[in-house]
This record gives sequence, C-alpha cells and structure tokens, in this order.
Amino acid sequence: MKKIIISCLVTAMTMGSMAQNVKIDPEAVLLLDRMSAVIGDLHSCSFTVKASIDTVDKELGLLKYFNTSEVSMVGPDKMQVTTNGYRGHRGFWYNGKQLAYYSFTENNFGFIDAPGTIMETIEAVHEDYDIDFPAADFFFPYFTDDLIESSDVVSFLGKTFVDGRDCYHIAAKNKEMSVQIWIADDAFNLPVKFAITYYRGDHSSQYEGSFSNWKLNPELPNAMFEFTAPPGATQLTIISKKGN
Amino acid sequence: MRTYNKISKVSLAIVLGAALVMSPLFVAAQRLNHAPAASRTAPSRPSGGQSKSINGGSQRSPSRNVGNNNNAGKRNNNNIGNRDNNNAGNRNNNNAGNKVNIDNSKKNVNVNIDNSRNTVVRRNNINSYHGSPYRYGGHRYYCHHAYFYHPYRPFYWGPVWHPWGFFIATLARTAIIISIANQQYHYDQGVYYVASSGGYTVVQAPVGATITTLPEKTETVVVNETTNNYYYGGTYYEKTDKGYTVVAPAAGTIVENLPEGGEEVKIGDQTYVKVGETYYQPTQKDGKNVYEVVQIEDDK
Repeated sequence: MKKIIISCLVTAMTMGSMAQNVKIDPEAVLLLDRMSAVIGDLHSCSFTVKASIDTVDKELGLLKYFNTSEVSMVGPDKMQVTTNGYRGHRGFWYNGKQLAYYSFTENNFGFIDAPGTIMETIEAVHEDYDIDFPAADFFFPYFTDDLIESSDVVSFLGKTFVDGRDCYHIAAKNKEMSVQIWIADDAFNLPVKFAITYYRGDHSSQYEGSFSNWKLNPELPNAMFEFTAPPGATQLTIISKKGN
Repeated sequence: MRTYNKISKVSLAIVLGAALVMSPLFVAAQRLNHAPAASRTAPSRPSGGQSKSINGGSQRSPSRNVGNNNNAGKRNNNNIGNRDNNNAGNRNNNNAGNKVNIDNSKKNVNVNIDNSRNTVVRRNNINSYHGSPYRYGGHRYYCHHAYFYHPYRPFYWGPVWHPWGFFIATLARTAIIISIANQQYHYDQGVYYVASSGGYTVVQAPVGATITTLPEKTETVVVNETTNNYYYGGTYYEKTDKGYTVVAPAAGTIVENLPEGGEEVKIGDQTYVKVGETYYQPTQKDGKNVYEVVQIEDDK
C-alpha cells in the first residue's frame, strides 16, 4: 500500500515539475526525506558497503581502488566498522567514549578520545584525522537539506534497475561535484548505491559504493563495540591534523 | 649499442624508481559537504531521556523552500568544519603490546642540554624526490622509497651500547670527555653520557662532537650519490679532518635499525617511527626491511 502511495505521489509530482522546469525536484526531495526518515528511526543497523575510490596519478592517470566495509551501529553511541581493501585490513570500535583503531595488516592499534554520539564522532575524526567512514553521509540528520543547499540542481531521474533491485534514481550537482543516489523501491527506501563525482581541472574522479546486507534494528551485544588489543600488537600514537 | 643499452637501463630504472615512490596526486574525498551542527536547529528529542536513534532522527530545516529557484542556492562552504572539537586527542588506555617506556625527556636527565639540533633532519632539495609527497595535516612527507610497513623493533648494538636515559653509576676507564657548547659529555664506545646525580645518564650524541675512531659495528649509510655517513646506535657521523663528527640525520638516508626510544606514530594512513625530532618511514630496499629519514615540509 505504501508503495502504491509513493508511486502515485511521484507520478503526480513529476508531471508538475515538468510543467514548472524547477531546479530542485520535489519528488527527489520526497524520496530523500523518506530515506532519511527510515534511517533516522533506526535504533540499530548493520550493512555492507563495497566501494571504489578513484585517485589521479601523475604518471599513470586515473587509478581505481576498492574496499569492502562491514558497519554496525547502535544509537546513539556505539559503532563498529571493519574495512578490507586498498588501505589494508583495519577496524574501528566506538563505545561512546573513545574510538579504537586496529590494523589487522600491521598488527598495531591506537586510541582517540571521542565525543558522545556516533554522528559527532564521525564528524570529529573526519575533521581531525581525515578518517572517513563508509557512506556516513546518509546518516547525517539533515542529509536532504545539506544536499539541497550545496547543489545547483537536484533531479529525480526516474526508476531503474540496479544491483538486482528496482530503484529510484536521483542526481544532484554543483560546480565541484555531482552526486547520484539510487534508493530502493520497496517498503524501506534505503540507499542501494551512490556515486560522488568530483570535478577538478582536467580530472574528474569518483567515489562509488553499493549497499547490501541491511539489517534493521538488530540486537547487537555491547561487547562487540569494545576493543581489546591482540597479543603482540604494537600501540602507536595517532597524530591529529591539528597537532601535526 | 652499448651506450644505448646503458641509457635504456638507466631510463628504465628511473621510471621504475619513480613508480615505486609515486603517491597519488589526488584522491577522491569520501564524503559530501555537511553544514556545521551549530548552524542547525537542535533536533527535537523524545521526552523521557536521550534518543536511542542512531542519529537522533531525521531532521528537516523549517526554512526549506523546495521548488523555488531563488532559494535553491549555494551554501558558503567556508563554514564547514568550524566546530569546537573539545580536544579530541590521544589517550593511552591499553598497555598491551610492545610500548617502549624509556623516557629520554630533558627533565629526567636533569641537565639543561639543548639537543634539538641532534635529530632535526638535514634537508635535501625537494626536486630530488620523484613523484608526489605524502600529505597530511598541512605537511608534506618526502621519501625516495615507497611506504612499506614493518613493526618497529628497537635494536641493541651490543652489551656496551645503551639507549637514551640509561643510568650507570660509574664509567669505564676508556671514557673520554668531549666539550660541546660549554657542556661536558663523557664518551665511551659510541655512547654519550652526562653527569647526573650519583652517576651518568645516556643522552643523544651532540652535533659537532668529534671522535677519532668509530665504534665497532658502525655501518656505512648512503646519504646521496656523493656522500656517506656512518651510523651507530642511532648516531650519524661524517668524516672530517679531525676524525668523525656527529651530524644530524640527513633526509633520504636509509638505515636498517633504530634504537630504543622511538615511537610509532600514525600520521593519516601511514605509520612512522619518531626518534627525537626525526621521522623514519618504514620501507623496503632490496627486499630488506629498512627505514628512510623523512623530509617534512609545510604544505603551502
């Protein structure tokens, strides 16, 4: 039933937007708000993100690197992320007080004092340490507003089939980047895929990711967000950008 | 033909060498822009306690005006990031592991010696580095060799060598006195001491100190095509008219072993070993785990 209502709304608004030629499509906003509302209501979740990241190399041109991340969160202050890929195999454990880092590849670890919520921690470690968590953007409470405010155009591009699923396709763009989001056409309207393209001079490069294995409001034990250093691991000091 | 082959080999070596050290010029960032939390109205919370939602619940600006072109404008991105981070810093909570506990700070040596010149790196011309440096936190880190992590394991140069901060009650009879900048050092077999209450404490070798004979197990290390240094116990020497003189580490120098007193520091995605003010990048050369002295420049 919900699916029918959203489809009808989308159809009606598409016809309206075509007549007005607006730069921010209301139907795109509707879908983004719907996605954010579902995410905002989650008390816990886990999912997998497979991402590719472009780098521009002076001699070799555009190179693509890959990683796969398993993410678990319990609101408001527990998160665990394990990533395997071009930066090696590493994990982060956030327990509401500190963020622990461990490199399985290098067998070393460190700690960062962290704020009291997941979102504040994500923001803080991005600012201070250049640590980014996969697809964290989708969890920002003002995701839709941020996208609207930073874009010259936000468009609903219709329905398509991606990663084996029917999806709504949304695109946004400003002078420096474009964003594409594919939202599942189902009862939950969760993100299926995203692609951020950066435009810089002669080069454009992309960060792309696909979601899978969504689990909504699972029961996750607190112990999984606590880190204990394995025997033989070396502790190191993690240097902040500001203190560097 | 011989000349052509030689040139080809050299060219190939340069290309391969450059390929090994190249860092990406540009990495795609992994996130969108988000307005600072302070610029947003605080999200409403359910009564009776803190929200258990992962992100406090989805929020929508009351001033949002979708569909009106005049209001769908750009945001001043200069305001991103101006948040009070409440000093999110480092804390050592877990002592499992090989954390080195030698304290070589001035206060424990109980002498007022300015050793800052001893480990501040002598710089190269940055044009001698092929490829792009590693960048983090407003600095650029130059190395000739690619980053290759291997764990820091302090090296001991034998029973007569001691790390910084080590205390002994009496010196061997072979010890000699060396004066540098009005400070007296006691030198014995590659180790430099200063008098401290009740005995002698090992300190960093003072730049400018000259000895006539290098310690046993001193290695020759290559600084560049025309210069070698001599390395023992974490100290670098250059040959001079009067013997061998202590110098600061030169950027680009490769050493196999580092003394106790170093600290592994994670700078962005790379882990370096910091010994005094010198940063060493773990790398490999000819299949062997080694360290290269890093040249750090401000990122302007």
